[in-house]
Amino acid sequence: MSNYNDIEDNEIRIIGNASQPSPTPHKRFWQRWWFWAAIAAVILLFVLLIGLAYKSDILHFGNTTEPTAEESDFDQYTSTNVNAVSPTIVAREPATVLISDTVVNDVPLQILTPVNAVPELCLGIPDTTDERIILALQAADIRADNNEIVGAFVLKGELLARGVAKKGFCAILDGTVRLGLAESTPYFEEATNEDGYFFRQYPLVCDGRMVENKPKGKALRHALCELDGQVVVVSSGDEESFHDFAQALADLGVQNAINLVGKDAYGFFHGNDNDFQSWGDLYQEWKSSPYLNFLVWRTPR
Amino acid sequence: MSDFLTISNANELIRIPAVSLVYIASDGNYSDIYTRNKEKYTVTVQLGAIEELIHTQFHINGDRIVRIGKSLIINMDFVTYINPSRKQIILSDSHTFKFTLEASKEALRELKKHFEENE
Repeated sequence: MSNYNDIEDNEIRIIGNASQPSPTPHKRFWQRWWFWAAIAAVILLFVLLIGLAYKSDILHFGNTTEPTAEESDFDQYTSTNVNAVSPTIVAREPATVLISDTVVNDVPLQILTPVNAVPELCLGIPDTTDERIILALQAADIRADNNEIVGAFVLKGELLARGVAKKGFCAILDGTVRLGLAESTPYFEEATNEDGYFFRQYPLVCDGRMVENKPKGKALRHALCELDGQVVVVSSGDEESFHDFAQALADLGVQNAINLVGKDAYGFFHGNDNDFQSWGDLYQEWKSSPYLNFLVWRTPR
Repeated sequence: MSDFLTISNANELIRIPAVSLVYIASDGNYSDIYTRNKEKYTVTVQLGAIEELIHTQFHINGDRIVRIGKSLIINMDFVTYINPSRKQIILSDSHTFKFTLEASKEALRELKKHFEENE
């Protein structure tokens, strides 16, 4: 007997003869209440940690910027102004990406304005050597559990995914971009009927007002924005919370904006003078998903 | 030759024959040892430590001593009455002493079963 205090009030133990079995066999550890209490505590702690991790993005190891099941807090709002924003065209200029940097509310922002190129969605990693592609970013999130696209996704009229997990949307019809916030929008049907493109993401700015989203935590952020009648991509220079990033966009003067996959999502652009820049990480297991999707701006033929 | 429970410290030594030991009750860091002649010895030794002493010192009578829960060690030779539902056990020699003690139902049920199966 190694521990003579190891006995419960409902047990008895013959002391003097160790070789003689006790009428109450010494309880195994799994027969003791504290063992099961400890198991229950561990399970409870595990569940709490999972919940906490889920809320703070920890479990979304890169394939989605934010937890896929989370929804926007902006349920009570719907876009009132969904503007059709045509590609920025500058006569006699080659297709390129104009870059400008600014700081809003201490949030460093980089604004990428694709010029003379048409946006569209594509599956798979775009060819970085294709000079017709001047800008590419990951668009819709992919679920960690089944590698499928989060929310409705239309690729050149083909419906690849359904759902309204995120209420922000981007519809591309004949090269014209519409950004908004709505649970149901006619642009979804229009995209499916007219060989258009459609995907959903977290709304960040709606009608010039910042949209609050539930996911917390900080990450590098990208947003597809309508700014001064142009479609631009705005990226945060530092890791930012949804709140701070969205507020900075609103204060920048963005009319409508939705999130694009952030954190270590992959993207690149070809700027002036063959300036090529890329970011993110391509070598993660989840990026082998057949539904890995990109928003690209391509030079028209 | 009888077994003896011997407990000693810097100041004193207590030596109780196994056949005279009736029961030992725990009172936190103290233990009260009751003997056949109705003497009570209080020692600053926890019940677990006394159990260990019994385990090592009793060679003949050890299997007659039983630990009941966290706070009781009894000599089974003096058990004269067990009533689990009333949580009651009486230790007596039917002549000179009688101690009525309380223990848990489950433990007393086990002890009762032990007597039924072994005696």
